[in-house]
Amino acid sequence: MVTGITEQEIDFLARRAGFDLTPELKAEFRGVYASVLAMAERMRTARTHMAEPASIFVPCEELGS
Amino acid sequence: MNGEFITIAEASAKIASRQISPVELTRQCLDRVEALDSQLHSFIRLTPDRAMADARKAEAEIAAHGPKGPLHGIPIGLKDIIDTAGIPTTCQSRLLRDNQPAMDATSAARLADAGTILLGKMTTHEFADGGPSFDLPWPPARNPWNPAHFTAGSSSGTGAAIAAGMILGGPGTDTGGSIRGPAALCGIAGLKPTYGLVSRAGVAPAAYSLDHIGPMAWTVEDCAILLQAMAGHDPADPASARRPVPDYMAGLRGGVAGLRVGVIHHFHEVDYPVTEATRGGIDTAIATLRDLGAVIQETTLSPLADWSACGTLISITERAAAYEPWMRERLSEFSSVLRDRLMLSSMVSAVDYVQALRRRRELCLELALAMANVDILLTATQRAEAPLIDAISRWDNIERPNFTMPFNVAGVPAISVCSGFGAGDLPVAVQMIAKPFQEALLLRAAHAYEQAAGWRGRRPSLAKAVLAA
Repeated sequence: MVTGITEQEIDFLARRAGFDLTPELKAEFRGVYASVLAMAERMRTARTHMAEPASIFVPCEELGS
Repeated sequence: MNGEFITIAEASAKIASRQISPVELTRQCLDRVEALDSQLHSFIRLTPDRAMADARKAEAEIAAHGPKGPLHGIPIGLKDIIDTAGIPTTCQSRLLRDNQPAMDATSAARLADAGTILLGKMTTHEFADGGPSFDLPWPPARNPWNPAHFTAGSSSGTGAAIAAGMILGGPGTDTGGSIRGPAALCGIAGLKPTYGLVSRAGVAPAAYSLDHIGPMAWTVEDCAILLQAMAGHDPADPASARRPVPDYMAGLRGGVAGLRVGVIHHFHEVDYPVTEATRGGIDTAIATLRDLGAVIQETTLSPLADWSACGTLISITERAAAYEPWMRERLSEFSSVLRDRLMLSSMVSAVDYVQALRRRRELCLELALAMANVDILLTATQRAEAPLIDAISRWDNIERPNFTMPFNVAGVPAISVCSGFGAGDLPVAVQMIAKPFQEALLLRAAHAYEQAAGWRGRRPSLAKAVLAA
């Protein structure tokens, strides 16, 4: 399990999203990232690959039929 | 109303019996705004000309035909993420400083149709997130029980203005607790309805699948009156529910005898222990409901942190999707708090988001099973009394679990009701939850508790001093 993130990885993710982070914010995000990882980890339960998400596409509703 | 506070229900009865006129009531509310709001900043934009015009129109209509309903002639405010035709809707953001919508949001139009008087647009957190911010052109709202303290957000101005008696009610919006949080810290009532019951059309999104619109007022009864006007299907909102709207007032006084109340003790005692005053308020509420005839049970759910993380990951991602073009092109115009929170979305992967949606389904099923044998759930709304306004972490949303988010994740109705006062005479609250579309039952239970608890006679001393002057 990943437990942290490097400054280079933060840079990569931010640039991919279109952001240019200040050194101060990079440092702050490195601190906060542990909380984000912990939250994301809580979403991984012992479900099977068949388990559906809560939001599913219902074309009939969208098309009004 | 001179020298007294008044609820929507009381004002409505007085208007109907000609003891007070909408013009008189509106003028008194505007006088209070003038006396108090330089300290509380609950309005981002006051619309006194519109208010007096609305009031004169209501007065003429009532004189000619009688009131068309309980909201005819009642002064309200609209959170500034709710579109108002011809009145700027800024979302408390530099990015929309000059935004003048062409149409009212559906909820605003329905409240106007019910005869309400619009006093103005209420302070919020920028785009209903990221507050309090001190680097925007508008200050954050302050708590009327002590202006050095936070109101919670993001329906912050609405909460403060209702508690101080400047408006009698108004709609809030709630993505993870933005109605119930300010209701709790400002000592009022606030209801987040079932997802889809009140239209989101014309309201700036915070997170599409978690956003709710609902009433805020001094009492539960007033929330029922407001909800009656706001609820109902709207084809302009793709999530709007197609179902009839029940009469929320009809059973309001039905009491709680025989109702089964499941207390989620582990949320507020183990997962994120609350302060002594909050715990005392919850325990007293449980005892009160038991004395009124409710059957108290224990309910166990997944840890609060699971619910909170699920909602927070969905919220971070959906918000970033909504505001991505501005994040890329006008990032520096956001407040620093919201800018940083939006940028944090780059640390959440697409797979994280889908896993959160899969977890959401599991949690919803879990809640449905847990509620099969209870009518109402009960836990805390907030951990503690209002903190100092300058002591809020910008990462508050991810560093600490959140008692209100579980019921945004599940989309079920939840209400916050004042349950007493703690340190510094600041209010504390209890949260009650019901099954989807069971707002009538939820309002009934909350009203029974509120009436028995007797906290509605107490108002902020700041506002009382203005009345006495």
